Amino acid sequence: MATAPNVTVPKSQIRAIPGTKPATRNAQLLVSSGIPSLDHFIGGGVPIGSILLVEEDPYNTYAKVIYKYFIAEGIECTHSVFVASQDAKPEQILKELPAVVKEDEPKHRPKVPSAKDDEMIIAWRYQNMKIVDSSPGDKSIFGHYYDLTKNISKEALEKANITTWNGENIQCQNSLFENAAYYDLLLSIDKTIQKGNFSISQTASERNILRIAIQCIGSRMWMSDTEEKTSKDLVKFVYMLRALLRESYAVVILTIPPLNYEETTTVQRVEHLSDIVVDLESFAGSAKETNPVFKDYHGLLNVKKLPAFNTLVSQESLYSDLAFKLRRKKFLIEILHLPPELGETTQREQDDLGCCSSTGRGGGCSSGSRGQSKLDF
Amino acid sequence: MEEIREAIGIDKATTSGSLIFIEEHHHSDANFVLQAIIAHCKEKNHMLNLVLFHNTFGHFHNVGMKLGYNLKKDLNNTVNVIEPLKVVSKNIHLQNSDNIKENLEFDITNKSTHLVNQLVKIIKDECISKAKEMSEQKVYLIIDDLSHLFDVGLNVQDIWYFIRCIRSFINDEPLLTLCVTSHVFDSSLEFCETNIIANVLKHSADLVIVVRPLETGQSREISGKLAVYWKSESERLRFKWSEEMTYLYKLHDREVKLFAPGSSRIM
Repeated sequence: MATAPNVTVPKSQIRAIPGTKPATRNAQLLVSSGIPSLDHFIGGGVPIGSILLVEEDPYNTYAKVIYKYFIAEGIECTHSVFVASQDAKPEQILKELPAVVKEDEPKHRPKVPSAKDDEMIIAWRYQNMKIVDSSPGDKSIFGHYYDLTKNISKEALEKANITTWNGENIQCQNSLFENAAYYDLLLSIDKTIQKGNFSISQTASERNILRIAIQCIGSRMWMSDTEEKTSKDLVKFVYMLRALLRESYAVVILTIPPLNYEETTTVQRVEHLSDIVVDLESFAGSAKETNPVFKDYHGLLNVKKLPAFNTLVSQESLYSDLAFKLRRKKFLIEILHLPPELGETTQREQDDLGCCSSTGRGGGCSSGSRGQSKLDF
Repeated sequence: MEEIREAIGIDKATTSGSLIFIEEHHHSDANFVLQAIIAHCKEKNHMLNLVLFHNTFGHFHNVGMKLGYNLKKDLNNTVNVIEPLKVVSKNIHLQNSDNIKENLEFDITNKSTHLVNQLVKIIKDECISKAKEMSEQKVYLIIDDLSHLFDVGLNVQDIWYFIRCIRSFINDEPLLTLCVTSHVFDSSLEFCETNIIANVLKHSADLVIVVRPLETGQSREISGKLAVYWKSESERLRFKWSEEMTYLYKLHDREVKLFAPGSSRIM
């Protein structure tokens, strides 16, 4: 892992790397994923030297948002950024990054009520109940909030240290991969690490973090001649990337389309090589889209794997049922709550019908008398 | 770690000249079993050789410090480490620099059989030769985890050849205990190479330890299931062990608690 090289530096000279915080459990340095609520659910943030794997939703609507947040957070924290994609132009991705919300206090944080102001008279039993906040974010200043309706300014992009890779003009010769794009990308990442002094073996007067963002790895754009060769290339690439990361001050976000590898163990193998795995299950095009239970959300988020660096046990997932929604301005991850049953739902109507038929004439087992009931007995 | 050592029986039974296989199912982490074996080696002052494909040596050292032993203190003395992850990273640096011709000890651009031979030679030079120098001392060779050899491009035949080579070390060095970890995947989908190798190892190992996640989902009280199979009938009769011993385990930061299936009482 990214541990400091054996150079004794006086404590007064050690400067905190911007946009990082140490984990309390294992003293591992963490960076924000760009979504404070996601940071909360994955154990505080993404550890330096780790791979965050995002398994894309079928139409890649929401994985793309997480991917953009990750890059935007890097630019906001003055980290170096490496953007790689064969499916979209990296320059276009950069232009579409969300702009940061410059506020001292985010609006959505619940106000802590003072005992005197909100003293309950009628429902006094609820006075001391804990306030349920279904969008738990880290209350410290770590990670920023972004506005999806606004794009990042040109000045911010010009100031940032960004390297892009789009898979064009590959000239390197290799015997390692069937698809030379993997090899070229690996060499480009290594070059960026060496050039920016991000390797732990290099000494740098001022440390910074390299954020590597690779979109749709293993998609149709990364195909080799056969499916088997494509899988082998992908797994080999992730293993070699893991080796590079363990020796550097860098973090990676990988988004992968799991539908391409539905009938193989490739996705499981990539999961085994990654440190954090997040799966996005979108409701678009599924029966859940019209289910009233999920009407407040756009999909479910499964945290499949959490990192276990320098410790026996990984951070335990506090909640197993998480859902996400994409609002006009922001992407939110929340604990899944069932909506209150206020109006007359379909379930309620069915219950009423059933009740009528059973209490009505003939004990409710004859369908001929009531045309509306589909039950035959 | 006492509980794990007792459960797998390495503190009682003779393990010299035997193969211990740890099968790690997908969505579970068998690192705690390795840490228990390492803790046992440190306590008994056995020589320890680590071939680390998955985690770094730093990880093992840091966990060891929490559990009460220092691996770095004995590095290159009674603890020898081979880290293919570091060599892979060095390989990539060299490809980017002008020193491409520099000889690498473990070059994954090589053809698979040559790669296996290189790896076997490194293990032999670094670990087995040192073990021979200390003839009276028991030696543990730990490989974590074998399934990553598939990731660097080897096939079933190559890995089977690798296993045969390292098994031959037991014949050379009777006080050697070979401990191999391998990750297995849900193989209902396709023909899975890693699972084939795991089955072969399960068949030939003297002690098989299986770490599984809970089939029914997540639990706050339990991290997963641990199953221990001692193949040797004489050892089983000696210590009155059943053919299969199953436990539930709960991982904590500095310890692992074991439970009997269906109970919440600590064993």
